Amino acid sequence: MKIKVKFYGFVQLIMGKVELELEFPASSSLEDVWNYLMQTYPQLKGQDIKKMTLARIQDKSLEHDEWAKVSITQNESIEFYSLLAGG
Amino acid sequence: MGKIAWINLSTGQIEISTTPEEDLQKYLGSRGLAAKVLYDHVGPEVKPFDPENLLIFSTGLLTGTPWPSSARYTVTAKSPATGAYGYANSSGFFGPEVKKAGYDLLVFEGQAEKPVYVYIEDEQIKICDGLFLWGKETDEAEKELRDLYPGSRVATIGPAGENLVPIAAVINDYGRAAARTGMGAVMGSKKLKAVVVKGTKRSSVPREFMEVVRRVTPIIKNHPGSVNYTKWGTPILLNFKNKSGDNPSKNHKWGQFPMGDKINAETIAEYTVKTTGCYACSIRCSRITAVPDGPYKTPETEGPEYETSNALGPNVWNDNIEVLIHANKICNSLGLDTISAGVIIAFAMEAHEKGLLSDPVYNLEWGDPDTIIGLLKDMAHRRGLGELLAEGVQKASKKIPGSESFAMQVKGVEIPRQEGRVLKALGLAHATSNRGADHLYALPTIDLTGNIEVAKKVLPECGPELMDVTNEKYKANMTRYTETCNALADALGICKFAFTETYAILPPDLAEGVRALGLNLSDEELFQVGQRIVNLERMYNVRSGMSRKDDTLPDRMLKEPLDVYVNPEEIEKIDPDKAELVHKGLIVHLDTMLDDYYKLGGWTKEGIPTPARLKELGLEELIKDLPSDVLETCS
Repeated sequence: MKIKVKFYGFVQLIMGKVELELEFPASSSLEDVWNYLMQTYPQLKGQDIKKMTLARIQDKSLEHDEWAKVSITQNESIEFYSLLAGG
Repeated sequence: MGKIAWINLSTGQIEISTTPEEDLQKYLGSRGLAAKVLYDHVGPEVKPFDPENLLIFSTGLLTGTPWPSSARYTVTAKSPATGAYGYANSSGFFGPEVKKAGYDLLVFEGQAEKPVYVYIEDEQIKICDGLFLWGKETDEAEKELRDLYPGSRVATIGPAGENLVPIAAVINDYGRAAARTGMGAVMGSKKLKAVVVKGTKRSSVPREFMEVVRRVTPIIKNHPGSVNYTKWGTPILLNFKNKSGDNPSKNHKWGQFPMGDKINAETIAEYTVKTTGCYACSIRCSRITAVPDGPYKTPETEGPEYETSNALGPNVWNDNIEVLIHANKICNSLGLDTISAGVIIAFAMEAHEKGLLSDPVYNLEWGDPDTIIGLLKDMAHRRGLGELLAEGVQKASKKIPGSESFAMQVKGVEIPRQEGRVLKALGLAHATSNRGADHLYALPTIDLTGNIEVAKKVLPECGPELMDVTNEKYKANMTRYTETCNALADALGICKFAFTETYAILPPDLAEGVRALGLNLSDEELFQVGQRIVNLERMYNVRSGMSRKDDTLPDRMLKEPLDVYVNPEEIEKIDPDKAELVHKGLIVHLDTMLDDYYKLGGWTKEGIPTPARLKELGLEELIKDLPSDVLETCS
């Protein structure tokens, strides 16, 4: 199935991309999407990046412990973002 | 009602008056009210170290109330760094103590003959002999004064301020700094070593106000952005920024640091003794660090925050965490702005690398601890090469031919630790800030926090490009909105982490609190106060001859393309042409953003408010100060 992944903030900068269209097998989870991204874009590797990254699907923010339980669906739009800014 | 104390250090005369309600309605307090007083009393003919310059300590309408993170105060004066408008603000507990003593403003005028400190206990104000404190570092001076006046709070300068160093800070609570634009040097020029305050008045606020406080506090505290800072403090930014190209190193030659694993949140955490927070703050982002032993043994000190960690870390190519903590402590003790200090040292190191500068004492090599620590001390004491560098990179570069393109400053103020070629909105904000290069003046980071909901709500006119951090479109819209919000934060005396960092609350929430305190301001009128402050400050600079030519960035940002590596460790090992890059060839296209920014703000193409805009904001009395060509064109 096709999904759309959008990136915001520091995650966008680290990826160097605003948006990706990806193919995933049915019954994949949000965690699977993140793992795929980490494998493909090694700059995302590291616990510090994951723990400060949030996900949002249909305007609902999802905590890390929920990622493995959230199944993604055809044409789903997933957003990854980081809530960090000033110094 | 709050009070204004005018303290003349030349004559010893002290006058206390009630703050006019009309001024509170128009400017709210702190940064706003101080801007009004500076505009009215310190004209373009006054030089920063003249007795006629004013040094204004101001508290906001919310400072010292139960409003979350309402700890902040502002120090305002004509700045020795910009030669025009200047202010810095700080947190901790000093500001709330000034409020407890009953003051909105403490205005210091004139110049003492001999060093003094001023003791304030409610209506009692005394100018005291400060000779015994002169020459002492900030922590020692603060301790002596606190011992002398138990229960007091102290804001003091160190040797840097005494020696009129334009990057001198005012330090309170043993390490909180009102650092930017050289307010410590103005204090030194008045021979005012310290302000000691003890207030006995209990904060009394209406029940309606407490209802607003109870509503907004959990929203701010539990916002995921706030929780991040509670857990990690600002050093967590180092980790993210280093992978994204926003961790400037080697004086902005790079946007990443190959030794990022040595200067990051985790290594700073290893030296963190405890976490702490300011008055009425539920976020508590501060860290107290110490180095227990070794050549850089350092007693407990506040910080280093992200800005300092970059300025005295990657920016000077320093990968030694103990040197960083030690250097941070030296800055706090000597009363130096850590951002400016780090940028100046990086400038000197680059000038040396390019064969433009050498020194008999220091090798000036990138990352050399002796150079870093030695130059900090020598700048504060104006010794050797420190005498030249103490003036800041703008003035130093004029004396080192060929160095201007890498003097990282705007309007005489060293650039804070963001990379404008990556964060385009910050590039614009650094250029347009009325106090010179600064990140907190506008803090345009709605894109950087991925805050789509807020973007839709407050910037509905912007397209999706707004949320693309490296895309310049709509960055002017965001900067106009956020600079207004941040002016409100400063005028109210609240921390930006509890407002504009996350926008967990929005200006209407502030307006509700302000109304509950008795000020009759609609949501729209409150927002206009922020715009009024920005325009008043802009007019201060216009009256000093500033215009579009001053809203610029160093050549490095405008002309030298920046590449961002997938793996920061490859920097200086693998050429950009051969390395895997995340971003390639980033520069700032400032002119287009400037045009938009001016137009959106009702300013001319030269960055000057039009008469119509001033009238709209209730600043008609400033129209006479506009340049004649603007008056002619707009009439």
